[in-house]
Amino acid sequence: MPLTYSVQEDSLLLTVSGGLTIFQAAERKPELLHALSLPQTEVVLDLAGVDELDTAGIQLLLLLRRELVNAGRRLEIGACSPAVLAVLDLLQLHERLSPAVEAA
Amino acid sequence: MKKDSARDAVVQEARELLVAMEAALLQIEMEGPTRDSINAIFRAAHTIKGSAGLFAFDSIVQFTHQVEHVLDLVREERLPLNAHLMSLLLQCGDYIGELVDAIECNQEAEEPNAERRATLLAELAEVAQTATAPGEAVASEPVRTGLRPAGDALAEASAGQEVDAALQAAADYPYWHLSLQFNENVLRDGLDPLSFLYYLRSLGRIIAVLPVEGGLPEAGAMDAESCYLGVEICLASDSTRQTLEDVFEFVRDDSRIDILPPQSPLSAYAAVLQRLAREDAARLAGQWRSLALFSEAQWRSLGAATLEEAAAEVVPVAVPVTGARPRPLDERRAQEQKFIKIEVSKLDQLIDLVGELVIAGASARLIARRRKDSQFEEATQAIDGLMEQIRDAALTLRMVQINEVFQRFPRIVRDIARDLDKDIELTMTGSDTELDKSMVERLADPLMHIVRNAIDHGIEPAAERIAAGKPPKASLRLNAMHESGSVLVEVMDDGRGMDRARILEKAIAQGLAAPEAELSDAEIYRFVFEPGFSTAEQITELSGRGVGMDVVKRNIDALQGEVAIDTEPGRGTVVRIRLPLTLAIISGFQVVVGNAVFVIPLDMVVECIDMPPRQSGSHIVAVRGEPLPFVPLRELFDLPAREQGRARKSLVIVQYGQLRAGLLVDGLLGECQAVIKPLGRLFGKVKGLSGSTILGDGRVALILDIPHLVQHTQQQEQSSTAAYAERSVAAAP
Repeated sequence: MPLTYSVQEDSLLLTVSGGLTIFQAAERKPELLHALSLPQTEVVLDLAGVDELDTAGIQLLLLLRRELVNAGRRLEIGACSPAVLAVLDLLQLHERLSPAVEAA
Repeated sequence: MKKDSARDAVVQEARELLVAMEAALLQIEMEGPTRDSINAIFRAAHTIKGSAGLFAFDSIVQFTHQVEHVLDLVREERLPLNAHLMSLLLQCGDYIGELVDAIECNQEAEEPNAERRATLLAELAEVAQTATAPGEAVASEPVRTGLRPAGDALAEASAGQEVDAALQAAADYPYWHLSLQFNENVLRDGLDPLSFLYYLRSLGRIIAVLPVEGGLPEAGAMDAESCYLGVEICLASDSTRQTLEDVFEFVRDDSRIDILPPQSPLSAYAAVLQRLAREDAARLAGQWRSLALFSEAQWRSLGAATLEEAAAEVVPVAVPVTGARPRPLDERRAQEQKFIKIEVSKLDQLIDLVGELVIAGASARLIARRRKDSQFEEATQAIDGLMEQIRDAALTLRMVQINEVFQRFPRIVRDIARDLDKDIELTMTGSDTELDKSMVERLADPLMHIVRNAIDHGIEPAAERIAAGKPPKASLRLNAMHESGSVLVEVMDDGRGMDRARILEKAIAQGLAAPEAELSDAEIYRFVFEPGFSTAEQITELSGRGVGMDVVKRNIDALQGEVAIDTEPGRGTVVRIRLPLTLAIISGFQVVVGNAVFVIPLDMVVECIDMPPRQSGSHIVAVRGEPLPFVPLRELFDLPAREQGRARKSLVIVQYGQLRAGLLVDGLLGECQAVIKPLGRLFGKVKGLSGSTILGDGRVALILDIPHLVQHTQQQEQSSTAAYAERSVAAAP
């Protein structure tokens, strides 16, 4: 199962695994955005199982973040794989996607 | 440790900036205010504030902020830069200097002088009050939008007024800026924009990247396979525009690829900001600010300030709160490519080692010569050549321009002249003359004394000058130059000169000179350097208490230097300080007297000749028809004769300053590298020797004090006539 939802206390944990690229983007988009319909304010992404991430994947994450922020909610990346980390480094997106991680 | 080195860097930078600020202020005083000089002062204050803020030295930040505020008013021509304000600014500069000193001693928590600070701040506030309203100076309020924090309103108004012109000017932005918005189909075509970034990394260093998400449509309308993202990239690279353009060759169709070369017109960056959605633009503005890619004024002209403030409301986390903090480090990094800062102790260590190497090299050469092994000798010769180069290179590392000392004088002269109500024009020449760093530092105090004396005693009040038919504005000149292996520093004034008769009278009264002695002018003026000697009629705050000139002489003596006075009543005085170039290693010339080896600094050697025939008893020989005084070293040092029957002797002619003299020696050994070791305390007082060195074979050779020996011959020359007379009287009966 590439994407699972679980609720921990008052935050929502999204665990993504496999690729998050142009090849999976169309499939992942509704799954990710499903989080918008759930009530938890805080959404945590576990990307530790993501072995590939490209612009399409980043775009989805940014979209999810924007929608959540506009709704007064928060997105945070809880864990990420080396592949994800490399892309976040390259685009200097740590702060935007995960302010809490940056602060830690 | 790390914090401390950063602290040192701040202190040093602040000191340099204060010097620049002072120089600019004084320039304004001399030549009237110019836009450049006012900006220079403002920049200096601003940068000091910035780097102090970086380390949270709040005391400096707050104080400097007030100074900056007043300077800003001046820059806007809302405050006149009059004499009162000039003095105030100079005093503020001094106080900032005190605050910097406190930081250096780790005492920044304590206010060095709270009272003074309060006074200065009050005066600054008072001056700021008198500023004209913005509308009076600014013809039309520039068109600006957005919020403005009340405190910065004034500063912004000034920036706003320059907006139009500023936008045409080149921005500071020292890197390439790439603004990319890709074609929607790029992902479907199998290209990932990320790969461009990876590729750009191979062409240079990516300073900053900002993904632009303003193109993302509403969640429902977004096609997950289309590309909506753009990227703003700040790239440090030596590549050409063509190379960078080629990176995007495959996506150029339908994609927007803007490549701005470093320092493009500000308007180009403004266009980038305008193109972006508000939130992205705010992020980019924040990034530019935190990287300090633009000067504060430019950044404001871009309208970036308003954007960032707006952003602060929308996305609190997106804007770094650190503001302009990384700037000084960034700027410094750029400079580091040209200069590195080294601890002086490391340099000293290097020079010590080079010294040991020179000694070791000399002993190797000696062994080679004894072995009569031509290959070995050749090898040592090659090493010698290199060693000499290393020595010279190492010594030049320690050389600094005398400007380091000279640059303090405009301020000092200005202040003293003002206190004494004299009008003085200071000119400085040869300030790029280089000499050893340790000497530059130790030259500062003596020079200061001499300059003070010149202003206080030498230069007359304007009325007296006019009466004497001189221009009311006195001239004081500092000059430095290289002269035959030494450095000559001169302080010249066109004042009243020294009164030869008064000095002599005083010298006789103090028992320094016999009333009947026939003394040369130079000898009489030398009395001025005697302890407790002063002819000043009235004691002023600055000088005249009879301390000073003797200290000057002592200081200069300690540097192996010499100080002399040349004066002409009514016309002025010249004080000449002559210093050796370096105190560490010299090229020497070895000579033999008896069984002892002496070293003469090679720079002072003019030529070596066979001793011409002479009259016995006389210490003067004729060289090419010119009389030349000489010193028979054997007699001077009371050395035993080396061997009998060796009649041929050599004369080494040396020059010091304008004077020449011969040294009579038994033999010449040739050039050598001499590492100067100080003489022990026991020999410290021996005249005629300035140091010792170790020869290749381990023996110690003494270095001759040529300045002293040359003077010795001059004195002899004068007394020799008298001596002759005495001798003939004694021989007569």
